[in-house]
Amino acid sequence: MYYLHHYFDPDFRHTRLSPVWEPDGSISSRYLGYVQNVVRGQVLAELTDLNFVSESARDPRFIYPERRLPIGPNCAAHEDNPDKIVAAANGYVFYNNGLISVKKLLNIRNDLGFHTGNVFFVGDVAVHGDVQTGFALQAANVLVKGHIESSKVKGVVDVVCLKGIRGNAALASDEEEREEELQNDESLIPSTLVQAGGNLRLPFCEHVQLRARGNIIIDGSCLHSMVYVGGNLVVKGRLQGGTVFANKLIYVESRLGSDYGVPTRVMMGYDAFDYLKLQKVETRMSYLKDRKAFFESMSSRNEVMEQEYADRLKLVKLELRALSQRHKILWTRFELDGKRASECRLVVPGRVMPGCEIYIGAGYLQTHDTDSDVTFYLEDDEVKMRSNKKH
Amino acid sequence: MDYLIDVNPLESLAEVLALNIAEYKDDSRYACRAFSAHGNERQTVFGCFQGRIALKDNQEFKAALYDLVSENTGKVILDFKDVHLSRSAVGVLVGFAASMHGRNKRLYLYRPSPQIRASLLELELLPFFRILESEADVVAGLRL
Repeated sequence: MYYLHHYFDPDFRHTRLSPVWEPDGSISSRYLGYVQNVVRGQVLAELTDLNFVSESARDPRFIYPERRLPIGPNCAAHEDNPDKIVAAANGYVFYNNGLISVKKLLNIRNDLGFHTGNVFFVGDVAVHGDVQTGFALQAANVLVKGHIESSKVKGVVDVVCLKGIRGNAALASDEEEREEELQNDESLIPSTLVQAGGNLRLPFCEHVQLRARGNIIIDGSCLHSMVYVGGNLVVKGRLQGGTVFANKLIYVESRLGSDYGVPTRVMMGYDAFDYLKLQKVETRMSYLKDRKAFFESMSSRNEVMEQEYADRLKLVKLELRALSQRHKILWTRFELDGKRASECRLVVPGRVMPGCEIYIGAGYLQTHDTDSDVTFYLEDDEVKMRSNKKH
Repeated sequence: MDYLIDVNPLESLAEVLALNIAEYKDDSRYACRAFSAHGNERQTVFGCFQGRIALKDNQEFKAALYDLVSENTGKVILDFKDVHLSRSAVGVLVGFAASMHGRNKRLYLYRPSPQIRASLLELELLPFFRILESEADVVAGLRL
Protein backbone atom coordinates (compact mmCIF):
# COMPACT_ATOMS: atom_id res chain seq x y z
CA MET A 1 0.00 0.00 0.00
CA TYR A 2 1.14 3.50 -0.80
CA TYR A 3 0.37 6.96 0.50
CA LEU A 4 0.45 10.17 -1.53
CA HIS A 5 1.98 13.00 0.49
CA HIS A 6 1.07 16.46 -0.80
CA TYR A 7 3.22 19.57 -0.77
CA PHE A 8 0.20 21.75 -1.49
CA ASP A 9 -3.30 21.91 -0.03
CA PRO A 10 -5.34 19.32 -1.94
CA ASP A 11 -8.58 20.63 -0.43
CA PHE A 12 -8.04 24.22 -1.53
CA ARG A 13 -11.11 25.78 -3.14
CA HIS A 14 -11.05 29.36 -4.40
CA THR A 15 -14.79 29.56 -3.74
CA ARG A 16 -14.32 28.94 -0.02
CA LEU A 17 -11.87 31.61 0.93
CA SER A 18 -11.55 33.45 4.17
CA PRO A 19 -8.99 35.96 5.36
CA VAL A 20 -5.73 34.20 6.08
CA TRP A 21 -4.33 34.06 9.59
CA GLU A 22 -0.67 34.86 9.48
CA PRO A 23 1.90 33.20 11.74
CA ASP A 24 2.21 36.45 13.70
CA GLY A 25 -1.50 36.29 14.53
CA SER A 26 -2.53 39.12 12.25
CA ILE A 27 -5.21 38.89 9.63
CA SER A 28 -5.59 40.73 6.36
CA SER A 29 -8.90 41.17 4.60
CA ARG A 30 -7.16 42.04 1.35
CA TYR A 31 -5.15 38.84 1.19
CA LEU A 32 -7.20 35.68 0.93
CA GLY A 33 -4.68 33.39 -0.75
CA TYR A 34 -6.83 33.16 -3.89
CA VAL A 35 -4.38 30.99 -5.75
CA GLN A 36 -1.77 28.32 -4.97
CA ASN A 37 1.21 29.35 -7.10
CA VAL A 38 3.68 26.69 -8.22
CA VAL A 39 6.78 26.96 -10.37
CA ARG A 40 8.19 24.65 -13.00
CA GLY A 41 10.14 21.83 -11.36
CA GLN A 42 8.51 22.24 -7.95
CA VAL A 43 7.64 18.97 -6.24
CA LEU A 44 3.87 18.78 -5.74
CA ALA A 45 3.38 15.33 -4.24
CA GLU A 46 5.33 12.23 -3.37
CA LEU A 47 4.30 8.59 -3.15
CA THR A 48 5.64 6.83 -0.05
CA ASP A 49 5.20 3.44 1.55
CA LEU A 50 2.11 3.55 3.77
CA ASN A 51 4.07 1.98 6.63
CA PHE A 52 6.23 5.10 6.85
CA VAL A 53 3.20 7.31 7.48
CA SER A 54 1.81 7.49 11.00
CA GLU A 55 -1.83 6.46 11.32
CA SER A 56 -2.89 9.87 12.55
CA ALA A 57 -1.43 11.52 9.45
CA ARG A 58 -3.20 9.23 6.98
CA ASP A 59 -6.03 10.55 4.84
CA PRO A 60 -7.95 7.59 3.38
CA ARG A 61 -8.48 9.46 0.09
CA PHE A 62 -4.78 9.33 -0.64
CA ILE A 63 -4.06 5.69 0.13
CA TYR A 64 -3.33 3.77 -3.06
CA PRO A 65 -3.25 -0.02 -3.35
CA GLU A 66 -0.74 0.16 -6.20
CA ARG A 67 2.12 2.41 -7.25
CA ARG A 68 0.19 4.94 -9.33
CA LEU A 69 0.70 8.66 -9.67
CA PRO A 70 -2.30 10.93 -10.39
CA ILE A 71 -0.47 13.01 -13.00
CA GLY A 72 -2.63 15.55 -14.81
CA PRO A 73 -1.95 18.31 -17.35
CA ASN A 74 1.26 20.33 -16.92
CA CYS A 75 2.59 17.85 -14.38
CA ALA A 76 5.21 15.14 -14.78
CA ALA A 77 7.06 12.47 -12.85
CA HIS A 78 10.36 13.65 -11.39
CA GLU A 79 13.33 12.73 -13.61
CA ASP A 80 15.42 11.23 -10.81
CA ASN A 81 12.66 10.00 -8.54
CA PRO A 82 9.61 8.57 -10.36
CA ASP A 83 7.60 8.59 -7.10
CA LYS A 84 7.46 12.39 -7.13
CA ILE A 85 5.13 14.59 -9.15
CA VAL A 86 6.58 17.90 -10.29
CA ALA A 87 5.00 20.89 -11.99
CA ALA A 88 5.93 21.19 -15.67
CA ALA A 89 4.92 24.84 -15.90
CA ASN A 90 4.44 27.94 -13.78
CA GLY A 91 0.83 28.26 -12.73
CA TYR A 92 -1.60 27.15 -10.06
CA VAL A 93 -2.11 23.63 -8.79
CA PHE A 94 -5.43 21.93 -8.16
CA TYR A 95 -7.14 18.56 -8.35
CA ASN A 96 -9.11 18.03 -11.54
CA ASN A 97 -11.01 14.75 -11.93
CA GLY A 98 -8.74 13.07 -9.43
CA LEU A 99 -5.55 14.21 -11.17
CA ILE A 100 -3.07 16.78 -9.93
CA SER A 101 -3.09 19.53 -12.55
CA VAL A 102 -1.34 22.82 -13.11
CA LYS A 103 -3.04 25.57 -15.06
CA LYS A 104 -1.10 28.44 -16.57
CA LEU A 105 -4.03 30.82 -17.05
CA LEU A 106 -5.97 32.07 -14.06
CA ASN A 107 -9.51 33.12 -14.87
CA ILE A 108 -11.13 35.36 -12.31
CA ARG A 109 -14.74 35.01 -13.38
CA ASN A 110 -16.00 38.05 -11.53
CA ASP A 111 -14.50 41.27 -10.20
CA LEU A 112 -11.17 41.31 -8.47
CA GLY A 113 -12.20 42.64 -5.09
CA PHE A 114 -13.13 41.55 -1.60
CA HIS A 115 -14.07 38.03 -2.64
CA THR A 116 -10.65 37.42 -4.22
CA GLY A 117 -8.34 39.72 -2.31
CA ASN A 118 -5.13 40.95 -3.91
CA VAL A 119 -3.80 38.48 -6.45
CA PHE A 120 -0.19 37.62 -7.24
CA PHE A 121 0.13 34.96 -9.90
CA VAL A 122 3.17 33.63 -11.75
CA GLY A 123 1.19 32.88 -14.93
CA ASP A 124 -1.32 34.86 -16.98
CA VAL A 125 -4.51 36.30 -15.52
CA ALA A 126 -7.83 37.15 -17.15
CA VAL A 127 -10.18 39.19 -14.99
CA HIS A 128 -13.68 38.91 -16.43
CA GLY A 129 -15.02 41.79 -14.35
CA ASP A 130 -13.48 44.95 -12.92
CA VAL A 131 -10.44 45.45 -10.73
CA GLN A 132 -12.02 47.21 -7.80
CA THR A 133 -10.70 50.19 -5.88
CA GLY A 134 -7.90 49.51 -3.45
CA PHE A 135 -6.89 46.10 -4.77
CA ALA A 136 -3.71 44.95 -6.44
CA LEU A 137 -2.95 42.43 -9.14
CA GLN A 138 0.41 41.22 -10.38
CA ALA A 139 0.90 38.54 -13.00
CA ALA A 140 2.78 37.76 -16.23
CA ASN A 141 0.21 38.85 -18.83
CA VAL A 142 -2.91 40.59 -17.62
CA LEU A 143 -6.24 40.93 -19.39
CA VAL A 144 -8.97 42.91 -17.66
CA LYS A 145 -12.29 42.68 -19.45
CA GLY A 146 -13.97 45.28 -17.28
CA HIS A 147 -12.73 48.56 -15.85
CA ILE A 148 -9.70 49.16 -13.72
CA GLU A 149 -10.69 51.39 -10.84
CA SER A 150 -8.32 53.09 -8.43
CA SER A 151 -6.02 50.11 -7.93
CA LYS A 152 -2.63 48.71 -8.89
CA VAL A 153 -2.26 46.37 -11.83
CA LYS A 154 1.17 45.13 -12.84
CA GLY A 155 1.95 42.84 -15.72
CA VAL A 156 5.46 41.50 -16.10
CA VAL A 157 4.76 41.21 -19.84
CA ASP A 158 1.68 42.85 -21.40
CA VAL A 159 -1.43 44.43 -19.94
CA VAL A 160 -4.68 44.87 -21.82
CA CYS A 161 -7.79 46.51 -20.41
CA LEU A 162 -10.94 46.37 -22.51
CA LYS A 163 -13.14 48.98 -20.81
CA GLY A 164 -10.80 51.64 -19.53
CA ILE A 165 -9.11 52.95 -16.45
CA ARG A 166 -10.43 55.62 -14.19
CA GLY A 167 -8.47 56.51 -11.10
CA ASN A 168 -9.34 59.02 -8.44
CA ALA A 169 -7.59 61.30 -6.02
CA ALA A 170 -7.46 58.67 -3.28
CA LEU A 171 -4.07 58.12 -1.77
CA ALA A 172 -2.10 55.01 -2.60
CA SER A 173 -2.67 51.94 -0.45
CA ASP A 174 1.06 51.42 -0.52
CA GLU A 175 2.63 53.05 2.51
CA GLU A 176 5.74 54.08 0.68
CA GLU A 177 4.04 55.78 -2.22
CA ARG A 178 1.55 57.39 0.10
CA GLU A 179 4.50 58.82 1.98
CA GLU A 180 5.98 60.11 -1.27
CA GLU A 181 2.73 61.73 -2.26
CA LEU A 182 2.36 63.43 1.07
CA GLN A 183 5.91 64.66 0.86
CA ASN A 184 5.53 66.25 -2.51
CA ASP A 185 2.24 67.95 -3.17
CA GLU A 186 3.57 69.42 -6.39
CA SER A 187 4.07 66.07 -8.09
CA LEU A 188 0.53 64.82 -7.47
CA ILE A 189 1.29 61.44 -8.97
CA PRO A 190 -1.98 59.52 -9.31
CA SER A 191 -2.26 56.60 -6.93
CA THR A 192 -3.81 54.37 -9.58
CA LEU A 193 -1.00 52.50 -11.26
CA VAL A 194 -1.01 50.29 -14.32
CA GLN A 195 2.38 48.94 -15.24
CA ALA A 196 3.55 46.64 -18.01
CA GLY A 197 6.97 45.14 -18.67
CA GLY A 198 5.97 44.99 -22.34
CA ASN A 199 3.07 46.70 -24.05
CA LEU A 200 -0.06 48.27 -22.67
CA ARG A 201 -3.37 48.73 -24.46
CA LEU A 202 -6.52 50.36 -23.17
CA PRO A 203 -9.54 52.28 -24.49
CA PHE A 204 -9.19 55.36 -22.26
CA CYS A 205 -7.65 56.49 -19.03
CA GLU A 206 -8.15 59.29 -16.56
CA HIS A 207 -6.16 60.22 -13.42
CA VAL A 208 -3.87 57.26 -13.68
CA GLN A 209 -0.18 56.52 -13.75
CA LEU A 210 0.77 54.37 -16.74
CA ARG A 211 4.16 52.74 -17.05
CA ALA A 212 5.26 50.52 -19.92
CA ARG A 213 8.69 49.46 -21.11
CA GLY A 214 7.22 48.74 -24.54
CA ASN A 215 4.51 50.65 -26.37
CA ILE A 216 1.28 52.14 -25.08
CA ILE A 217 -1.76 52.28 -27.30
CA ILE A 218 -4.78 54.21 -26.09
CA ASP A 219 -7.77 53.83 -28.37
CA GLY A 220 -9.57 56.79 -26.84
CA SER A 221 -8.39 59.68 -24.72
CA CYS A 222 -5.72 60.01 -22.08
CA LEU A 223 -6.79 62.57 -19.51
CA HIS A 224 -4.82 64.02 -16.59
CA SER A 225 -2.48 61.07 -16.37
CA MET A 226 1.23 60.52 -15.85
CA VAL A 227 2.59 58.31 -18.61
CA TYR A 228 6.05 56.73 -18.62
CA VAL A 229 6.73 54.86 -21.83
CA GLY A 230 9.89 53.14 -23.03
CA GLY A 231 8.65 52.63 -26.59
CA ASN A 232 6.08 54.60 -28.56
CA LEU A 233 2.87 56.15 -27.38
CA VAL A 234 -0.22 56.25 -29.57
CA VAL A 235 -3.28 58.16 -28.40
CA LYS A 236 -6.15 57.96 -30.83
CA GLY A 237 -8.29 60.43 -28.94
CA ARG A 238 -7.16 63.39 -26.87
CA LEU A 239 -4.04 63.75 -24.81
CA GLN A 240 -5.20 66.31 -22.31
CA GLY A 241 -3.66 67.28 -18.98
CA GLY A 242 -0.93 65.37 -17.18
CA THR A 243 2.62 64.62 -18.24
CA VAL A 244 4.06 62.15 -20.72
CA PHE A 245 7.65 60.92 -20.50
CA ALA A 246 8.79 59.19 -23.66
CA ASN A 247 11.91 58.69 -25.70
CA LYS A 248 10.76 57.72 -29.17
CA LEU A 249 7.55 58.60 -30.96
CA ILE A 250 4.35 60.07 -29.61
CA TYR A 251 1.38 60.14 -31.92
CA VAL A 252 -1.73 62.04 -30.83
CA GLU A 253 -4.46 61.65 -33.38
CA SER A 254 -7.26 63.88 -32.17
CA ARG A 255 -6.04 66.65 -29.91
CA LEU A 256 -3.07 67.64 -27.78
CA GLY A 257 -3.92 69.94 -24.89
CA SER A 258 -7.10 71.40 -23.57
CA ASP A 259 -9.53 74.24 -24.26
CA TYR A 260 -9.33 75.37 -20.66
CA GLY A 261 -5.58 75.70 -20.33
CA VAL A 262 -5.07 72.52 -18.29
CA PRO A 263 -1.29 72.08 -18.36
CA THR A 264 -0.25 69.28 -20.69
CA ARG A 265 3.43 68.39 -20.65
CA VAL A 266 5.40 66.17 -22.98
CA MET A 267 8.97 65.36 -21.99
CA MET A 268 11.14 63.51 -24.47
CA GLY A 269 14.78 62.76 -25.02
CA TYR A 270 15.53 60.96 -21.78
CA ASP A 271 14.79 57.48 -20.57
CA ALA A 272 11.34 57.69 -19.03
CA PHE A 273 12.19 55.25 -16.26
CA ASP A 274 15.37 57.07 -15.32
CA TYR A 275 13.15 60.12 -15.07
CA LEU A 276 10.85 58.24 -12.73
CA LYS A 277 13.75 57.12 -10.56
CA LEU A 278 15.11 60.64 -10.49
CA GLN A 279 11.72 62.03 -9.47
CA LYS A 280 11.53 59.54 -6.62
CA VAL A 281 15.06 60.25 -5.44
CA GLU A 282 14.54 64.01 -5.57
CA THR A 283 11.23 63.80 -3.75
CA ARG A 284 12.81 61.69 -1.06
CA MET A 285 15.84 63.96 -0.77
CA SER A 286 13.71 67.01 -0.40
CA TYR A 287 11.70 65.28 2.35
CA LEU A 288 14.88 64.16 4.12
CA LYS A 289 16.37 67.64 3.96
CA ASP A 290 13.30 69.00 5.73
CA ARG A 291 13.56 66.25 8.33
CA LYS A 292 17.24 66.94 8.83
CA ALA A 293 16.57 70.64 9.38
CA PHE A 294 13.82 69.78 11.86
CA PHE A 295 15.99 67.30 13.79
CA GLU A 296 18.84 69.80 13.89
CA SER A 297 16.62 72.53 15.26
CA MET A 298 15.22 70.18 17.91
CA SER A 299 18.70 68.93 18.84
CA SER A 300 19.94 72.45 19.34
CA ARG A 301 17.41 73.14 22.13
CA ASN A 302 19.11 71.27 24.94
CA GLU A 303 21.13 68.15 25.75
CA VAL A 304 18.13 65.92 26.33
CA MET A 305 16.71 66.77 22.94
CA GLU A 306 20.10 66.33 21.38
CA GLN A 307 20.27 62.78 22.73
CA GLU A 308 16.70 62.13 21.70
CA TYR A 309 17.29 63.10 18.09
CA ALA A 310 20.91 61.99 17.64
CA ASP A 311 20.07 58.57 16.14
CA ARG A 312 17.45 59.93 13.79
CA LEU A 313 19.78 62.62 12.60
CA LYS A 314 22.47 60.01 11.96
CA LEU A 315 20.06 57.92 9.93
CA VAL A 316 18.81 60.86 7.90
CA LYS A 317 22.38 61.84 7.02
CA LEU A 318 23.19 58.27 6.09
CA GLU A 319 20.24 58.01 3.75
CA LEU A 320 20.86 61.44 2.27
CA ARG A 321 24.43 60.47 1.47
CA ALA A 322 23.30 57.27 -0.24
CA LEU A 323 20.61 59.12 -2.17
CA SER A 324 22.94 61.84 -3.39
CA GLN A 325 25.27 59.14 -4.78
CA ARG A 326 22.31 57.61 -6.56
CA HIS A 327 21.28 61.01 -7.83
CA LYS A 328 24.74 61.54 -9.36
CA ILE A 329 24.64 58.17 -11.12
CA LEU A 330 21.20 58.91 -12.53
CA TRP A 331 22.31 62.30 -13.82
CA THR A 332 25.27 60.70 -15.62
CA ARG A 333 22.87 58.36 -17.40
CA PHE A 334 20.66 61.31 -18.24
CA GLU A 335 23.41 63.05 -20.14
CA LEU A 336 24.12 59.94 -22.17
CA ASP A 337 20.46 59.45 -23.14
CA GLY A 338 20.13 63.08 -24.11
CA LYS A 339 22.01 62.31 -27.34
CA ARG A 340 19.01 60.36 -28.59
CA ALA A 341 16.78 63.39 -28.26
CA SER A 342 17.20 64.39 -31.90
CA GLU A 343 15.39 61.19 -32.94
CA CYS A 344 12.29 61.97 -30.88
CA ARG A 345 9.12 63.02 -32.64
CA LEU A 346 5.76 64.25 -31.44
CA VAL A 347 3.27 63.91 -34.27
CA VAL A 348 -0.17 65.47 -33.96
CA PRO A 349 -2.43 65.06 -37.00
CA GLY A 350 -5.26 66.62 -35.01
CA ARG A 351 -5.27 69.94 -33.17
CA VAL A 352 -2.64 71.33 -30.84
CA MET A 353 -4.13 73.63 -28.27
CA PRO A 354 -2.40 76.62 -26.65
CA GLY A 355 -0.57 76.04 -23.37
CA CYS A 356 1.10 72.72 -24.15
CA GLU A 357 4.66 72.44 -22.86
CA ILE A 358 6.98 70.35 -24.98
CA TYR A 359 10.45 69.44 -23.81
CA ILE A 360 12.79 67.50 -26.07
CA GLY A 361 16.30 67.06 -24.68
CA ALA A 362 17.49 70.53 -23.71
CA GLY A 363 14.90 72.25 -25.87
CA TYR A 364 11.57 73.68 -24.76
CA LEU A 365 8.55 75.07 -26.53
CA GLN A 366 5.20 76.27 -25.30
CA THR A 367 2.35 76.46 -27.76
CA HIS A 368 0.50 79.77 -27.90
CA ASP A 369 -1.87 79.25 -30.80
CA THR A 370 -4.10 76.52 -32.08
CA ASP A 371 -2.44 74.52 -34.82
CA SER A 372 -3.22 71.30 -36.58
CA ASP A 373 -1.35 68.48 -38.32
CA VAL A 374 2.10 69.28 -37.01
CA THR A 375 5.26 67.50 -35.88
CA PHE A 376 7.52 68.62 -33.06
CA TYR A 377 11.21 67.72 -33.18
CA LEU A 378 14.58 68.87 -31.88
CA GLU A 379 16.99 70.84 -34.01
CA ASP A 380 20.00 72.81 -32.76
CA ASP A 381 18.88 72.30 -29.17
CA GLU A 382 15.54 73.92 -29.90
CA VAL A 383 12.13 72.35 -30.18
CA LYS A 384 10.70 73.15 -33.58
CA MET A 385 7.30 72.66 -35.07
CA ARG A 386 6.68 71.89 -38.70
CA SER A 387 3.44 71.45 -40.56
CA ASN A 388 2.67 68.07 -42.11
CA LYS A 389 0.22 69.56 -44.57
CA LYS A 390 1.15 69.19 -48.21
CA HIS A 391 0.96 72.48 -50.04
CA MET B 1 21.09 23.20 6.10
CA ASP B 2 23.06 25.71 8.11
CA TYR B 3 20.64 28.54 8.56
CA LEU B 4 18.82 29.16 11.79
CA ILE B 5 15.72 31.19 12.39
CA ASP B 6 16.65 33.33 15.33
CA VAL B 7 15.70 36.96 14.98
CA ASN B 8 17.61 39.62 16.78
CA PRO B 9 16.05 43.08 16.77
CA LEU B 10 18.55 45.89 16.85
CA GLU B 11 17.65 49.36 17.90
CA SER B 12 19.55 51.39 15.44
CA LEU B 13 19.80 50.92 11.72
CA ALA B 14 23.10 52.74 11.64
CA GLU B 15 24.48 50.15 14.04
CA VAL B 16 23.42 47.36 11.75
CA LEU B 17 24.94 48.93 8.72
CA ALA B 18 28.11 49.70 10.59
CA LEU B 19 28.40 46.01 11.41
CA ASN B 20 28.89 45.30 7.74
CA ILE B 21 26.50 42.75 6.38
CA ALA B 22 29.27 40.36 5.32
CA GLU B 23 30.63 40.30 8.83
CA TYR B 24 27.59 39.01 10.64
CA LYS B 25 26.79 36.55 7.93
CA ASP B 26 29.75 34.53 9.14
CA ASP B 27 28.06 34.23 12.49
CA SER B 28 26.42 30.83 12.17
CA ARG B 29 24.15 31.53 15.13
CA TYR B 30 21.94 33.82 13.13
CA ALA B 31 20.27 33.35 9.86
CA CYS B 32 18.30 36.54 10.00
CA ARG B 33 18.26 39.71 11.98
CA ALA B 34 15.51 42.25 12.17
CA PHE B 35 15.96 45.92 12.73
CA SER B 36 13.67 48.87 12.69
CA ALA B 37 14.32 52.38 11.53
CA HIS B 38 13.57 55.23 13.90
CA GLY B 39 10.74 57.56 13.09
CA ASN B 40 8.73 55.12 11.05
CA GLU B 41 5.94 52.91 12.30
CA ARG B 42 6.62 50.49 9.50
CA GLN B 43 9.55 48.28 10.24
CA THR B 44 12.13 47.12 7.74
CA VAL B 45 13.29 43.61 8.41
CA PHE B 46 16.51 42.19 7.11
CA GLY B 47 16.66 38.41 6.76
CA CYS B 48 19.98 36.76 6.11
CA PHE B 49 20.01 33.16 4.92
CA GLN B 50 22.76 30.72 4.19
CA GLY B 51 23.14 27.27 2.75
CA ARG B 52 21.36 24.87 0.48
CA ILE B 53 17.60 24.83 0.91
CA ALA B 54 16.08 21.66 -0.47
CA LEU B 55 12.64 20.04 -0.44
CA LYS B 56 13.10 18.57 3.04
CA ASP B 57 13.82 22.03 4.43
CA ASN B 58 10.76 23.65 2.93
CA GLN B 59 8.67 23.78 6.09
CA GLU B 60 11.52 25.26 8.07
CA PHE B 61 12.33 27.74 5.30
CA LYS B 62 8.70 28.80 5.07
CA ALA B 63 8.50 29.27 8.84
CA ALA B 64 11.73 31.29 8.79
CA LEU B 65 10.36 33.60 6.13
CA TYR B 66 7.03 34.16 7.84
CA ASP B 67 8.77 34.67 11.18
CA LEU B 68 10.32 37.80 9.72
CA VAL B 69 6.95 39.43 9.22
CA SER B 70 4.92 41.08 11.90
CA GLU B 71 2.04 43.52 11.83
CA ASN B 72 4.41 46.50 11.76
CA THR B 73 6.65 45.16 9.04
CA GLY B 74 6.56 47.29 5.94
CA LYS B 75 9.44 45.81 4.05
CA VAL B 76 11.44 42.61 4.09
CA ILE B 77 14.90 42.41 2.58
CA LEU B 78 16.26 38.90 2.07
CA ASP B 79 19.99 38.43 1.77
CA PHE B 80 20.44 35.40 -0.48
CA LYS B 81 24.07 35.85 -1.45
CA ASP B 82 25.19 32.45 -0.19
CA VAL B 83 22.04 30.47 -0.75
CA HIS B 84 21.18 27.66 -3.11
CA LEU B 85 17.43 27.27 -3.60
CA SER B 86 15.86 24.12 -5.00
CA ARG B 87 12.85 24.54 -7.27
CA SER B 88 10.57 23.69 -4.36
CA ALA B 89 12.24 26.37 -2.26
CA VAL B 90 11.70 28.83 -5.13
CA GLY B 91 8.04 27.81 -4.92
CA VAL B 92 8.04 28.66 -1.21
CA LEU B 93 9.65 32.01 -1.98
CA VAL B 94 6.98 32.74 -4.59
CA GLY B 95 4.29 31.88 -2.04
CA PHE B 96 5.91 34.28 0.41
CA ALA B 97 6.10 36.97 -2.27
CA ALA B 98 2.39 36.46 -2.95
CA SER B 99 1.62 36.85 0.73
CA MET B 100 3.71 40.02 0.96
CA HIS B 101 2.07 41.45 -2.16
CA GLY B 102 -1.35 40.56 -0.83
CA ARG B 103 -0.73 42.43 2.39
CA ASN B 104 0.78 45.52 0.72
CA LYS B 105 4.23 44.84 2.09
CA ARG B 106 7.38 44.99 0.03
CA LEU B 107 9.84 42.20 -0.57
CA TYR B 108 13.37 42.72 -1.84
CA LEU B 109 16.12 40.26 -2.66
CA TYR B 110 19.51 41.58 -1.70
CA ARG B 111 22.37 40.28 -3.88
CA PRO B 112 20.81 36.93 -4.78
CA SER B 113 23.34 34.22 -5.63
CA PRO B 114 24.05 33.43 -9.30
CA GLN B 115 22.17 30.14 -8.87
CA ILE B 116 19.05 31.94 -7.66
CA ARG B 117 19.30 34.52 -10.41
CA ALA B 118 19.67 31.77 -13.02
CA SER B 119 16.72 29.87 -11.55
CA LEU B 120 14.47 32.91 -11.50
CA LEU B 121 15.55 33.87 -15.00
CA GLU B 122 14.90 30.40 -16.37
CA LEU B 123 11.48 30.35 -14.72
CA GLU B 124 10.76 33.86 -16.05
CA LEU B 125 10.20 35.03 -12.50
CA LEU B 126 12.98 37.60 -12.19
CA PRO B 127 10.71 40.56 -13.03
CA PHE B 128 8.41 39.58 -10.18
CA PHE B 129 11.12 40.39 -7.65
CA ARG B 130 12.82 43.63 -6.75
CA ILE B 131 16.55 43.18 -6.54
CA LEU B 132 18.92 45.30 -4.47
CA GLU B 133 22.50 45.11 -5.71
CA SER B 134 24.43 47.15 -3.17
CA GLU B 135 24.43 48.31 0.40
CA ALA B 136 23.73 51.83 -0.88
CA ASP B 137 20.53 50.51 -2.48
CA VAL B 138 19.52 49.05 0.88
CA VAL B 139 20.06 52.34 2.66
CA ALA B 140 18.30 54.30 -0.06
CA GLY B 141 15.37 51.93 0.11
CA LEU B 142 14.90 52.27 3.86
CA ARG B 143 12.22 54.63 5.07
CA LEU B 144 12.79 56.58 8.19
